Amino acid sequence: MNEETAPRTAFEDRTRSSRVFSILDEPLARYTLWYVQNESEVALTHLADVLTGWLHEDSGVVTTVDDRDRIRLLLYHVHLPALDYLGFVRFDHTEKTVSRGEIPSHVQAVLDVLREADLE
Amino acid sequence: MGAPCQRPGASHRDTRATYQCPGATYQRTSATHQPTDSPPFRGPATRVPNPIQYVLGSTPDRPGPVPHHRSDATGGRRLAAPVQPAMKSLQQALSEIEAHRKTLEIYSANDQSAIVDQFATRNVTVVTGSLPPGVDAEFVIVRGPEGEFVGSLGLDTFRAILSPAVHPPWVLTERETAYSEVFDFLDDTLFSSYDRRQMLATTREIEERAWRRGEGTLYVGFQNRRALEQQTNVYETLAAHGNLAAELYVSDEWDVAIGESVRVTSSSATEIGQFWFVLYDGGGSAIHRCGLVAEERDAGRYYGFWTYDPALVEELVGHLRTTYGPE
Repeated sequence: MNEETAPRTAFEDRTRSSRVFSILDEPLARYTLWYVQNESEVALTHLADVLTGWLHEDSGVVTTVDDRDRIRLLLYHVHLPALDYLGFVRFDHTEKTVSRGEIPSHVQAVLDVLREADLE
Repeated sequence: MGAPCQRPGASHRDTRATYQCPGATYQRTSATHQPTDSPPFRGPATRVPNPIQYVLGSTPDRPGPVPHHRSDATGGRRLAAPVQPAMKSLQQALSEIEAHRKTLEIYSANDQSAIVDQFATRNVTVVTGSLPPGVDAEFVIVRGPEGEFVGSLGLDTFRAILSPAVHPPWVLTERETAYSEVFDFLDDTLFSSYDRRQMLATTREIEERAWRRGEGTLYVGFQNRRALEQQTNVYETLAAHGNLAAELYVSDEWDVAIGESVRVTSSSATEIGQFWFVLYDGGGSAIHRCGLVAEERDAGRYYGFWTYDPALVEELVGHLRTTYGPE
């Protein structure tokens, strides 16, 4: 039995669900989805800039370039590849741009609930 | 970029944790200036630049230290005015500062025209960014001349910084904000039309910093005798606090004692009469140095800059001490 013939659908589904909830648990990923939904296409650097300001908005601190670079690094290496894998965004590694993808309705429902909690 | 980063044991909500990538560890670091253990400034051993004249216009080959007379608040003689360089390269200096123009990118669902108005006379461009509908977050991204990210902060914090207390520092409570961190990216801010109230507010901001630190020296210039007369009680109080001292410079004659730690230097040098300046040497701590230098171009309208750049403040203090004393 090789990989191509293996009955993996159920396993894949469960893995996919785990990935979905895992990624939605990440503030950077959620804020990325919210922000990108309002934009046609956004540059990775600009996305990192905005998320840095947004996530620290009520912290009382002044963020630095180091903060922004760390967030950009996480977006590039972790969150955008994961969101792109799930089809929630389209991440162009070459151009370093992010655009809207397809978010299933049940995922959107979870996002909306989390949005209420995050932004209230 | 290389392989994906690992995020060991970090809370999902903690965006400030340590992240480890192959070959590198990324930690939150501060871009603020670190305190130094160097002693308080004791005056330069060699010729120092003349920053006030440099920034606001000067000739490169100015004379050395000029004659001056300092009274120790008991009055005394007054020497002839020193030779002053022409104020002709102002535009060149301004262009250099203009080249470092920053941009404030405001994110808010509410009308922020007040902030736009507030910066109308400053060397800053204000633009607005957009967030998704329904988001009530308010923050500002500060960008450099090339549009690069310099820093960000919440609008509440930003407003607090932009509203320096007008009242004297000794009735203020401690603020939570660390000024050195906040103002790191607002060093050398140019302003072009401060009124007297704004000048006093910024002056109080600098005095407040000195008051909190409780040591070091304030260097303050008064355009005329009347301006100093109105502030003598302020500096008497400041200089009586902790180990603070005040070196006051006035273009008119002065023979009134103000306090033990207050010295008044009377000089007819052009720049003393021309500029309103307040410099705090940080009391041995570079991160506490700050200053304001401004020229009254039209009646009641001031043009100049304020700075939290330790090196620039040190240069300005060095210039004052070399030129007018104390040695």
